[in-house]
Amino acid sequence: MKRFGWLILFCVVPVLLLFVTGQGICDVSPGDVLDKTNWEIAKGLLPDEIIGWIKKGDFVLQVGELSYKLADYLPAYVCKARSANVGKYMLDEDGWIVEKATGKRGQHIIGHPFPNVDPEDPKVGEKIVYNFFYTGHSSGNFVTQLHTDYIRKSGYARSTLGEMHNMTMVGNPTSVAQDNPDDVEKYTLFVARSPYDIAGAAVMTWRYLDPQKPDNTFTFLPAIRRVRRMSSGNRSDAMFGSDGSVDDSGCFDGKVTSMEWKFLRRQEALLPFVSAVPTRLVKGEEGAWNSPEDIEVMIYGYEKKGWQGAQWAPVNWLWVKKPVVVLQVKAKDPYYNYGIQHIWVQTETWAAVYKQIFDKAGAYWKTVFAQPRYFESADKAFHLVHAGDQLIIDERMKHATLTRGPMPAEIWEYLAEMDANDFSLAGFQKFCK
Amino acid sequence: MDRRKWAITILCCGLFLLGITLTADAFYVDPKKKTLEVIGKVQSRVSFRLQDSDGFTQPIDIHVGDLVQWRNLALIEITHDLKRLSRDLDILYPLKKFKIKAKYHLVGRFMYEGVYNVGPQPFKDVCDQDKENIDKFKQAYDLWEAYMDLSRGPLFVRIGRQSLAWGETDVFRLLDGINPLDNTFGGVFEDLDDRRIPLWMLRGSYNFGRVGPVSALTVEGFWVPGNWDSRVAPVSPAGTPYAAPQPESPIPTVVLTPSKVMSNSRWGVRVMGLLADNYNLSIGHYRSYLDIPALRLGVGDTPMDAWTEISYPDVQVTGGSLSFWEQRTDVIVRTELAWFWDEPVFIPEINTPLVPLPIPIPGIPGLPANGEIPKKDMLKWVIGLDKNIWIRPLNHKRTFMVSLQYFGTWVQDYDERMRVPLALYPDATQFTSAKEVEGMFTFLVNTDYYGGDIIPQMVVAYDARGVFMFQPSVNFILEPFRIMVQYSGIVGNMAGFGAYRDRDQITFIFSYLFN
Repeated sequence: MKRFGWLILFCVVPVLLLFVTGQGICDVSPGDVLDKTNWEIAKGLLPDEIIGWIKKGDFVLQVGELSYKLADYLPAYVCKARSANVGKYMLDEDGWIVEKATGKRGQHIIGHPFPNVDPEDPKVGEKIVYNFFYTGHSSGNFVTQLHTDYIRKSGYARSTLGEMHNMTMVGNPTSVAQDNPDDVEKYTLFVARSPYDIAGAAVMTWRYLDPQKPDNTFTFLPAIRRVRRMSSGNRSDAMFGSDGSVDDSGCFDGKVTSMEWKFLRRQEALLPFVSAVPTRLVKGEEGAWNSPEDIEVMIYGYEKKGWQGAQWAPVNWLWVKKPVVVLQVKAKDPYYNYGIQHIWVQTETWAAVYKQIFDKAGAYWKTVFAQPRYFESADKAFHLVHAGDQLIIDERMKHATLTRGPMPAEIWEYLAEMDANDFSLAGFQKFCK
Repeated sequence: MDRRKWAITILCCGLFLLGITLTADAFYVDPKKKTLEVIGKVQSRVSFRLQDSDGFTQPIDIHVGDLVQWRNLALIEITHDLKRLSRDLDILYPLKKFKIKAKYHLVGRFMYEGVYNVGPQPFKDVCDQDKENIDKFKQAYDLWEAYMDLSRGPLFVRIGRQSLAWGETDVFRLLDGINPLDNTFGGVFEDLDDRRIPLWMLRGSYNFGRVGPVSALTVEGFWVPGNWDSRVAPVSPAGTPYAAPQPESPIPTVVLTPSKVMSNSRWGVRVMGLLADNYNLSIGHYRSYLDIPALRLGVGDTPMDAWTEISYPDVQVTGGSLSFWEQRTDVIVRTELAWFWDEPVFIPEINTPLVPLPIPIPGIPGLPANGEIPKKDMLKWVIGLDKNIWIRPLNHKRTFMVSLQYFGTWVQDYDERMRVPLALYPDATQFTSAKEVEGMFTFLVNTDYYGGDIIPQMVVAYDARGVFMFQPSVNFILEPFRIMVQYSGIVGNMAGFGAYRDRDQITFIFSYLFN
């Protein structure tokens, strides 16, 4: 009888405990702090390299929960389109989004074109990527001040400052109402402001709606005082000495048809957020929605006195468990500098959050974090989701590039009024010296 | 207050504003609105000659290891976007009323060349012998750029002192001949944009958008009123480190620059657009002045009253450019084709005629007579190819940017007597020949390491007549400093840039960026 009691104690009780907790020892809860003493409980919820960083003591994660539902924090017209767009669109053999009923090309799409995705769909990867592109388009034209810090293992190295103007021609009512004779998906213009030796350098890109048509990229270099064409194929080359390439922006900013996409899995993951509450939007003087001057600032290891972890580690991000899908990406261009990539996409608002980059031999190389920001107006009537900080860590070089989201001194404008003439060859001149 | 004092005042104010920030960010007077930006740098450029002077290069006593350049530069730039101010200031009300976007841009430039104070004795002697001229030459305080941008919808206008570059070339110019170049402080060894002299100009463009198969169809024009600005490329005073190698002349040299009159205006117009969403095409015509002046002999009442006259006849250029991305090879192709109308040429028998003496005297080939400046039409072209190449064993993180160019010139109605007005040592009456068809190749490659902190580059130019120029350099970033080491060398004969074949040098450039 006594022996039977010990059997129950050492065999049955643990099993019962496992059953009661439901998820075994790999689970996190709001309020947990993940560090090198308890990294195991996050296994599977994060890319392996992040687990490794926690284990080493480079990263410490504060787990929390949000006071709001992510899916409610898209603009109303996107929420409305969630039901309107179900089953409306498909991808044709050239990768165009077309209306299922008519076969007509979808050039005035509002919201996510593929609100429901089927993992068994052979084109599910492409559809998910279009969804996260249209998440970006839903916030309309934007003007951002891009403050980028270059961080070494020993700490802060240097910074660059630039300004980006993005004019989107799809994804929201204002954009689709504009004339679009060149069938452009978006115009992007980046102007470097500092340091002095790159100040005045500008890059303009025209992204066409045609999935097979490559971007047109123009660069103004102060050293030659001219606008010149740039290759649109060179998208895996690091930019301005950073750890990120053109395609790494927002985890992926290339043409969908330039990659082969494969759906790997659905899962839950710990994702980075700014805080438990959304960020307030303020109305700007020119009618745009602006980030506030008292916006929360994200802090990193090199900025925190006494920090013992990695200099680029985020110190005050909030990590929340959310459902994601993981896609495998492989470039069709044999000269692309990356091998396989894994992109983790959060499914409530279709925001890409992580990209793991492996080299052409299959060894791990870099990780991209794209932390989103969720905004709402003071009267809570208007919402949008947009980019927050983007961090790229090059594990081999022990170097990181941090592109800041909106900051107190770097106000971002959303749904900004823009003139398409600014993105013409003539208009580009006004941004150049 | 005179111009020099204004310039010093602006410099001090700018340095004060910049000095109060300790970060390497752009300095904004209004950091939240970011409409008024101040940036700047100071730079010191030190060059040591790596060859003894030879031939007609003066001063002849410059040797290997001698300092030939200590050029100090300070630049302050102010950019002010008036969009917010136009809402608040009544005087700017028209901008708001007519929805005109406006901004202005100012650059103060302060330059001092120290080689005439601390360099080798021959340069100090040059300064002593021509003090007034060298004192003006070795320092400059300028409102270097000062323009206002106004734009409304498809119309863009820039008024003020500015630079405008047309065409598709690097390293050397073809259609890019609107602004003159200052070659007095380094010639071909210097970056093109560092040599460009801004002009007081009115420039505008109008975007027509898509017209048939052409998108972004634009008409652009410029006008440099001659009574505002008729500046041309300056001539290096004799004996300065980068002066052309010329024999000492027994007769004076007179430099005639275009006078400031309306008839000496520069102007031009071009049409450009994107054809079939890939081909950047432009066609244009402009009037300007070439950097290389024309030479002729002038004679007064008697042959003893003679002078060498350097002048700058105007030239009109008609041409076009085409550039596109070739997707399969991932190459950017750049081309230019231009017709130079009535470009001055040098034919000794016409430009610098000598009348034979009635009785020959050894050492005196003849008596000078009034020369003329013959002109020829010229067809010039360039084909350029740019490609980013991965050479992973050398750099697994960044591509190598490789650029090749071929420049060609074909003289119309060629005259075999044509020469380049540079005497072939030791005979002051013999000149380098000019061929009917000339060609030149350039090659440039660069990449970067350590997150952009180290930027090596190599530039090679080859004149098909038998001259090579090599210019390897490495740029180091140690925020907020920049340190560049550059070697410049020319080997070959006297054709083209071969005139500077005895000026090989090593240069150290130290820059401090205020932001």
